[in-house]
Amino acid sequence: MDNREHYLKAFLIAGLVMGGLSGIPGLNLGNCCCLWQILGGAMAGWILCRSAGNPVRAGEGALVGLFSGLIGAMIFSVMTALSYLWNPDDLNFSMEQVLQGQDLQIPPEAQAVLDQAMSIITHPALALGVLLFFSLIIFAILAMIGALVSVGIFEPRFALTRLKRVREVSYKPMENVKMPEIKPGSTDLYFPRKEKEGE
Amino acid sequence: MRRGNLILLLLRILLGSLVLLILMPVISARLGMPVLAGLSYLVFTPFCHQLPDRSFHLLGVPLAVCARCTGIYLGIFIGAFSFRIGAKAPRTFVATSFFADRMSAPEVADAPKPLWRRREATADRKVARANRKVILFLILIMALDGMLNALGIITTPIWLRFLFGLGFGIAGGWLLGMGVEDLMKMTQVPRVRGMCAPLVATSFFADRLCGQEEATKDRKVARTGQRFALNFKSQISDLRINKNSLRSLRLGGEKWSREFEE
Repeated sequence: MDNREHYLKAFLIAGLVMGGLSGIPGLNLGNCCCLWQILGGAMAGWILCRSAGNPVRAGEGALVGLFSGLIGAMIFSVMTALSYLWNPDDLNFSMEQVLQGQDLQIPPEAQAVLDQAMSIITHPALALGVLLFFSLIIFAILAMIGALVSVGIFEPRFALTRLKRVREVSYKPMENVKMPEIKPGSTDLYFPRKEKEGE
Repeated sequence: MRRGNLILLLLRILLGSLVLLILMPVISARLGMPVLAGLSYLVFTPFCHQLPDRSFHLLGVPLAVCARCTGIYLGIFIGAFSFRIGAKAPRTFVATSFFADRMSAPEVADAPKPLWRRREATADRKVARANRKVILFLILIMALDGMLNALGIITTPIWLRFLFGLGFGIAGGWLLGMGVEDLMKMTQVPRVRGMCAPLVATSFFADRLCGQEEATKDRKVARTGQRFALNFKSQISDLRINKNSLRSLRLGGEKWSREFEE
């Protein structure tokens, strides 16, 4: 946990980007096959590796990916809820389409119970609650994988940059160090103190 | 059960339930409960196109996600499940060595080492790079396939999509298992382990157990031992204390007690 101060920046930026891209209609086609979740997690890992002052561990990548996934899922759920409020028929339509596609043989006496169950399950509040719950899980898992892959790829590269930065600071060549000008008698640090002390 | 193993087990259960949720339409069709199928389709609606012609059909019912996503979720489950089953399993090694290449950073590489150690390090680095390439290949091939299919340049058969997704999922599952395990190691509370634990416990209770008259010196040693152990506690979280360090701990306690007396 050496890079604790960089976690917040990494997972906030990545979570916002991930949630925004997955929630915007049109762009949310990238949700198919988990593109935005994995890319968002990878972005979190990249930001962490880039800004960290110490070597980044795999666990740190997992942590950043987890939180970016959770934030992304919340933003995504809010945006999905807004889009369903804008167009409420969208959800019902997709559910009916899906169930008709199954081509099930339902006995007529069970149809009333089924209709009641369907009216509950297609209730927007319940549907969005279920969606939020599973989005949290799926986003978190996929973003963690993205962040872990990203840390594995970028950490060796940024380790070199970090090392160069450390070496520049700690092993500064002598010719580049500007020495202060000291005139005799101007400071106590001047070597021949004997004259001043009168010895 | 250790905390890390417990979290890993919970992760496996979670991933297993996701796979079960993908199979839910088939199960619900079998049970005659289409509500469950509706729930399953609803959950995966934002994450997959769910086109029936690109999904597997079991018992005539399409699964909740397409073939590629089925491969991904199943692969993640298999990868996370097979991680750490068997202490020296190659998959664990593959996942670990994916992150091990940073050990070849110059601060390690430049350090003076005997020749045999340098050769060993080079061999390790080669294996790590090979493993990294395997994992990256599995990820990139799926991404490439998805992109080319989306652009309409090629049309991959359904089983090949499933295989690409499965490869990516297994690699991702290994990494996920390793990441979670490392995260648990990072977040564990510092505690005394190994042979040091009885010493700390004894020194805590010895103070109360000793009588007034006898063993006054022992009580002092116990008290200083407490102090010494508590100072050490934060530093020895990840170390296994061997006999030598235990001896040095005792000696340290006695030295402290002598100083205290003086």
